[in-house]
Amino acid sequence: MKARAPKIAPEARAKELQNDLGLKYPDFTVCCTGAKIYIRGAFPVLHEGTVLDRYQIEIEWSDSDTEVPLLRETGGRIPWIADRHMSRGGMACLFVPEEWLLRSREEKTVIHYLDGPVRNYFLWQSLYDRGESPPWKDRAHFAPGLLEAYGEMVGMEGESTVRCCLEYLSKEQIKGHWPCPCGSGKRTRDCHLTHMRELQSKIPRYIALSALARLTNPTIK
Amino acid sequence: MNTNEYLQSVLKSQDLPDDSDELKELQSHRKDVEALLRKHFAASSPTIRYGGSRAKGTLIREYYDLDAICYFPHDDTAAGETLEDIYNNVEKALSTTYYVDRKTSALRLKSRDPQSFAKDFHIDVVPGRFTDDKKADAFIYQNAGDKKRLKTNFDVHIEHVNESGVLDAIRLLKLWKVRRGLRVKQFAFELLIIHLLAKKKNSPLSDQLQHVWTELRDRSEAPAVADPANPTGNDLTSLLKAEWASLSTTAGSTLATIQSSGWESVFGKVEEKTSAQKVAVLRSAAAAVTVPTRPWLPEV
Repeated sequence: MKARAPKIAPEARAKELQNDLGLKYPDFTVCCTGAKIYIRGAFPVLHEGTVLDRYQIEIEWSDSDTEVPLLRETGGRIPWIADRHMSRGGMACLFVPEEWLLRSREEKTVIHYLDGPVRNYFLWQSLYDRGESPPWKDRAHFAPGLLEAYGEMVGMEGESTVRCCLEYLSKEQIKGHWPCPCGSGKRTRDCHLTHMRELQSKIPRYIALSALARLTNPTIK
Repeated sequence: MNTNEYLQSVLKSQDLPDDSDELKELQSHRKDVEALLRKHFAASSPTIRYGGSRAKGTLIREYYDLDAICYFPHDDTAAGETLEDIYNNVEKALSTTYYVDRKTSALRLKSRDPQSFAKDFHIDVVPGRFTDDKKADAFIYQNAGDKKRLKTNFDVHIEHVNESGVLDAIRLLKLWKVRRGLRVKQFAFELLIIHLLAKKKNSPLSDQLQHVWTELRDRSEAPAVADPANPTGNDLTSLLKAEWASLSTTAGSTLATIQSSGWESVFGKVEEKTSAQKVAVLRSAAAAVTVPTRPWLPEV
């Protein structure tokens, strides 16, 4: 079953978000346009109470279990180029979406989003901007980056293995007589069944389906 | 440090000195833009002049721009028959070198270089046509709203803001607006501040700011603000009205913040760091990240 976020009117949700942001990020303004909720303002890259840099941003917020919040850098500081992980249209690519979707709802709050992926992304950008080497490795672009991330998620490597794993995880049941995704030639029951059952408890079907769809079309939201 | 000294230090931190890299880059792009327009519209002899926040004295480091007006003689049609044609033709000319973002009346210039694609040059080109031979008033095209053209006067605007006597308040309120992502048009916002502070020019800066925020919070709707370039013709109320709710709510929460946590919670600490110091702190901040999220790219 696909998990569902509780339904709440956009205006009420915007107020909740404004309150959540209030203590740590008081500069942000939350507003609604139709059903969409936008968070706008200058994001402060904070470290030990000091603002190291600021970026003008707009976040199209999503509480959905299947869509990630979308971040745009609106100040025009970061060029829209692959090396800066900025797609055409000014959309920042913070992560492989399923890495965020896989988090529990308690770890997907707006504060988690800003303190984690957003801060990390702009720390990375601020160092890059000053001619410094990136503080950690970025993902490969396009499908190879997806395979890296999904490989880490399922604890296996290789395109066919990762794909097969995701396909099994997208089914209601994993049958023991299916060929093992690791490519050993054995049946799953004689090889990685315990591992696959553990994965089933961690990776919901809708995440596996979302990952498979993205491998076919990396540009889907 | 008292409140007004603190606010002055915030203002100082927002200065862009003449020899700053940002201003040098701006000057260099400005020359290129002018050369391009003069070459492309040689037959029309456009008047190209510069305004924007630097000319008005309202520049802040966190959000600055240069307005380059490109006005054609009132009887010229070579650059375009209509104001819309002029706007489109100037865009076309600029697009040969720049990535151009169409704004309501201006054309925002960004990089077209594949290595820095869409990086903002902080230059707005405003195409238009003078209303007569005096070359003072001009009509500019508007691609949004009810009216397709707007009568304006470049010098009147600069002078009105420059001589308002409330430049410090305008700069700080602009910083407040930018940091909070409020989308009200800067031109209308400046005129609103001047209007609200008409009788407060000699008040301390902190009083001026609190007065503006109180007015924004307490007024149920935007006041009528006249455009000095066209006092009876341009209705700025609609520009302010669209954002009034956000302005009002944000002003209210800012006043509450000052009350509960003081001024530093509004504009932050003022810290001067050298470039090398900044890099060192950024490095140590990055080293302290326990779960680095790795950026990815779905498409070119």
